Amino acid sequence: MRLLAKYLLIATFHFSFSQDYSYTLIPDELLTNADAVVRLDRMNVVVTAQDFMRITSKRVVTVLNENGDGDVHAYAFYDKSTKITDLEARILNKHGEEIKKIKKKDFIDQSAVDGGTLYSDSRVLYLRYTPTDYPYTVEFTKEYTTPNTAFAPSWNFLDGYRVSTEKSEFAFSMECGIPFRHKESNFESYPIELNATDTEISYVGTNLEAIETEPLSPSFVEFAPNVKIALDRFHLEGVDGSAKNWEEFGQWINDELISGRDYLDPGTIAKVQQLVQNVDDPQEKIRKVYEYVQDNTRYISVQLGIGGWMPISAEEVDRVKYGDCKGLTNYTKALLKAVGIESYYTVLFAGRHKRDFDTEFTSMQGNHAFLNVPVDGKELWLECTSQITPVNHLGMFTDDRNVLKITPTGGEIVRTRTYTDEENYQLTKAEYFTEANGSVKGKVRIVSKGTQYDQKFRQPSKTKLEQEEFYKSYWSYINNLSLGEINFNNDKKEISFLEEVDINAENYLSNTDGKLLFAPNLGNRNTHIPERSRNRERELVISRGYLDEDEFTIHLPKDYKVETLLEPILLETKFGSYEVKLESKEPEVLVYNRRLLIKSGRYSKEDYKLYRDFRKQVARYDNSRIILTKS
Amino acid sequence: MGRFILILVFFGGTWLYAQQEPEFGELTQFEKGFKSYEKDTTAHAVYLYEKGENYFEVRGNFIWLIKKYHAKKKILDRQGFDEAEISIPYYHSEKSKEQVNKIKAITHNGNTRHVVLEKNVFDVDLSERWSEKRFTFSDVQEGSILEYSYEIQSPFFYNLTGWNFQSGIPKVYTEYNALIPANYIYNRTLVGEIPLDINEADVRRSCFSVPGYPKAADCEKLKYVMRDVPAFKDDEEYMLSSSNYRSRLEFELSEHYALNGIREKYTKSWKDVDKEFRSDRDIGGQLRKKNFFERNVSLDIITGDEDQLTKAKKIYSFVKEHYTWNEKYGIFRDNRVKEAFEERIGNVAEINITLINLLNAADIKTDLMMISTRNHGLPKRNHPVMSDFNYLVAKVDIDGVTYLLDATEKELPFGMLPFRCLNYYGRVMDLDGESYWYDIKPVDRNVKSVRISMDLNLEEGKITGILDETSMGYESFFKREKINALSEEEYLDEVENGLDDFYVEAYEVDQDQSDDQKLVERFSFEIQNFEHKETIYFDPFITRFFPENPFKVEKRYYPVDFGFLRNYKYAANIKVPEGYSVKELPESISLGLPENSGILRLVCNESQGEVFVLFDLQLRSTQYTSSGYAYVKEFFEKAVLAQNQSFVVLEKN
Repeated sequence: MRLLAKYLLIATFHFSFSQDYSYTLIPDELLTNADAVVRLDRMNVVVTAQDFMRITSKRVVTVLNENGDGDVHAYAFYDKSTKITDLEARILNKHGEEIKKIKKKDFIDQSAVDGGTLYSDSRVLYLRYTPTDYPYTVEFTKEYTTPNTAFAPSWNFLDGYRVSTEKSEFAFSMECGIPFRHKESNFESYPIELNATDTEISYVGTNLEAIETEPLSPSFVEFAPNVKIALDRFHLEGVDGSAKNWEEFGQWINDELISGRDYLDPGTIAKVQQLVQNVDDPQEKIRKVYEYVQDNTRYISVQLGIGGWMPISAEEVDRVKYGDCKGLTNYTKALLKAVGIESYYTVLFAGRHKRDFDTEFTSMQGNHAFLNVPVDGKELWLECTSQITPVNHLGMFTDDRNVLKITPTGGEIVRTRTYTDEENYQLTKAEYFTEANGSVKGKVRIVSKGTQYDQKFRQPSKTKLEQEEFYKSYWSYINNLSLGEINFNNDKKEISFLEEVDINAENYLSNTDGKLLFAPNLGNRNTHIPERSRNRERELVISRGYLDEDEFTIHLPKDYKVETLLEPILLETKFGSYEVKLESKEPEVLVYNRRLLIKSGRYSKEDYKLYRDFRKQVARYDNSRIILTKS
Repeated sequence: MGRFILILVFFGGTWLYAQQEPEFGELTQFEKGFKSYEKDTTAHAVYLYEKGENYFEVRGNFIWLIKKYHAKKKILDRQGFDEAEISIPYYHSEKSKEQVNKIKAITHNGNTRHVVLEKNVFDVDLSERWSEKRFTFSDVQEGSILEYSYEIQSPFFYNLTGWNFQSGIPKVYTEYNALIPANYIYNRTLVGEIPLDINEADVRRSCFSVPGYPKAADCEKLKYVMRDVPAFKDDEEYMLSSSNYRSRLEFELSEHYALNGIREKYTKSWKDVDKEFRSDRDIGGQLRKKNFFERNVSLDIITGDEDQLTKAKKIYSFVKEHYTWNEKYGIFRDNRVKEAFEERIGNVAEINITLINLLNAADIKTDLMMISTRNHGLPKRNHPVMSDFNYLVAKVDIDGVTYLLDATEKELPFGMLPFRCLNYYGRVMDLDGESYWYDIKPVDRNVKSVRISMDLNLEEGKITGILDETSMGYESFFKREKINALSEEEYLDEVENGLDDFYVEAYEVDQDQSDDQKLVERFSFEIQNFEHKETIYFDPFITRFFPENPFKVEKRYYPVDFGFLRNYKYAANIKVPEGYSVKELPESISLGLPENSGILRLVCNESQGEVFVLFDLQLRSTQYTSSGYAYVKEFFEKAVLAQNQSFVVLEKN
């Protein structure tokens, strides 16, 4: 009897400590628009030395359906310096009862090398679990230590779209007296409590509802609540650092990671000096050196330890003739220095979605490096990982964003070049001949600039088959299109790309009732209509605008005339304008002129429907047909 | 299978093999002078030389399989630079592993050479059993010749797998050599249509001796060469695995006589396979676990007194419901049916072995059928190659009718296999008799049929109507999978977003008409912004099966394969609006593919104030040869045209 009592006591004790994660306890409002509910997301960060940080976390996620499987996040990255000290997962059924327990040794251990990387020493332990029923819950605990205090964890109270959060707790504590900074963003409309002392700061967020995806929306980080933390004195893979602002931070990168890595052997210096021997114009010099780099190197990514942040030396790149973005940028910088031109290593977030360095908060940021070269009072940008990008072409990869420029006297946040709507330009000119049997043939010439250049200038390096596929899908509305000769001219100086394509198609015109029907816009139809967005909650963002102009000369079949021409169309909206006219210049010849301007900008959420209507109208007019009759 | 043989005594004697082998690092005059590849001017890089040698050798008390590789690639232009990245995969099990040794790599730029340093060769693990060595050449330029060689020392004799003559870039010369002691016997198959330029097989006397054993073994000496092998091009949509067509030599270990005289058979004839299969712990053994299920499954499923078909269907539903498939196949190893059954998660083998066991327990004649998925390639028919199979299903015979069953997909009806399994044939492993080939014949009636009746409301500028969509066979399976993955609202959003100005007013699934092979949906719809003039050119196609031709390229290298027979039907009834009359109807079309393997029809007529349009496309063959590609392409062109350019002309009275 005594024994039993003791047993019961222990059982109760244990029970009182295990939280009930039954599905039925989730508040209704957290289930709306959600594929998964984060029941608890808790992280404690303790910094005990400039080069030692311990992170313990517990994360409990209830997955509601298949789309939520990816929200469990039961993985842990590690490498030579980051060590996982504790890792465990429990799978619970919908009543919150344990159905499986996964110990650290049962996690799958794999190299975390991504597709574009030849080698990286980063590894990952992850949980592979096939759910049998939904909903199910995963409780995941993790503890790791790292010397890399340069990356103090940041914290997101919401994971992403379609995931709600029941409880989110983040605590940061400083046990070795290093001053630290924190920045809270987008807390306004969320119930998040904050408690701070000199050495500790903690946050608790409760019942944050899931956010639905919306097309053409601001990016998630712009409106979701998050916290950033940074130390004034930090450590990164064997290197100490200190910085309170961007100037100091840039100074540290310069002194510890870049400076002294630009040595080149005298033979290479002589070679590059020879290259610009008779060139006076500094811009021309830059072009020569940049093209030398492009012609002689290629992009290969190898990331090892501090090599994830420190470029491999210019000397090594010179020897193997390859490098990653850091290595190639540093190499180009060294070569420019050899011909007397100063340039600056620049760190940024690259990618189609524009992402800024946070001007007001200094911390380790970015995923890419390229080169800034001030010359003749303007700034040129060099993308050193590409063999074909022209001097100062940023394109959608690096345009219009705040980046960190590193100079020998410190760092500086600058903005990269912004393309105006009109600079993202495409001019399509075509002359084509239609026949009474329905066929059409002709030549299309397309000139592209700005970000539209981006989408085209890789064409020449594609295979014939890929080119064929590209044009057949670009003009997918022309059934049984066949392509003749295709020519390109890439004007790297003007950053303008010309395509000349011979096309021909059977049955482009349909014969109905002795009349011929066809759409005069053969060369550039805008058929994309943004999805419908019901109950829209956020602004409409058009992140890049563009201007398309089109001029098509159309030869009618012999002895045919137009029964009805298109009425001229002019649509003026705040999002841009659309203009089309079709005129008969001489008998049996029509001229079709079209102009479509889309303006970048932020518009109200109500505007989304109007924008969609505008695009629908454009699509409709682009598809409109005319009727020819025999004269 | 993966055991190697321990030799107890060791001593130095080996044999010499290499002769007139080009020295590593030396280029021939031909290679130095090579500028462009006339036979394929689109190539970005080309193998000038490639040689593999496989043989057996005693090293440190063990017999090893040695695989030497040596290649020289010419980089013709910048787009060929990707060829400078090399990965060398190697295999390991719990007990032993392959070793990649002696990696050498040099970039030749004219007479200068750049060596890849050892520190720049990386080791990356890919999966539990596979890793690879990775490196890239330095100072790669247009015109560089990249030369590399390595050796794999393998304890796995079954990893003598053959040679890939064809790759993504062309090869000027590719040579494979093997020196195989007579006590190892491999089955071999030449795949693809390119002939060998050199095909030599000699016997070499006393070539392989093992210290401590007096008698040296004779060897078979093989040399196979191909010259000017074109690049292998992957095709576009609708095809079987490209591995059915890529030129290569395949070996499979069949038997081995150990030095102590014991014969170990791996694979030889189907008879041997059948015998092994019965005793195999992984498959055959699992099939005999009847008792386990009888204890763990409620008995009335098995012993109920319904007819066999009803019972089989019940068991099939039970297994489908019981398990969640973990997306793995796993036919030959790591099958733990008991554990899987308890966890309710399993791979294909575990799930379908459960199914086979239960059916047999219920006295329904069921056999295991090994198949290969479409991606995996067609199994060779001339001799058993076990690695050709990667999937297993149940073959059930009830009242003279055969059903093939796979319980991995919840929505899959009884008697249908998933699309991935539609790979023509498989091998039925009859535990009591002999194994035999059996054809996989997908259901014939795979139909997508749309029936629309609509009213043109000129005053309000809209069209209203009812759209009935019937999906049958695979079409119904695909549709159900799609609908289940989405909420009704998401599904309808998708429908609406796919069609211009189309709004669904009401939606329902007609449960009475639907069954497991058929799904009938009804949409009441409205189309807005319908403009009209004196003459209306009305497009009767609200929705299109093929908005564009799926076959775009001019030339096709391999057969077009649809997997199952297909039928697409569109029937529209259009009420002619008040005050208008029909001036012109689309011209009727009737077209066929050769040998009656396809039919395309467009029929239009008018009666009693209604226009009727019927579009019917039937594919009556699952496969069309590459030489018939032009017909298929044109056939689809006509089908797209019929949907896109057929107008009903209405005129105001």
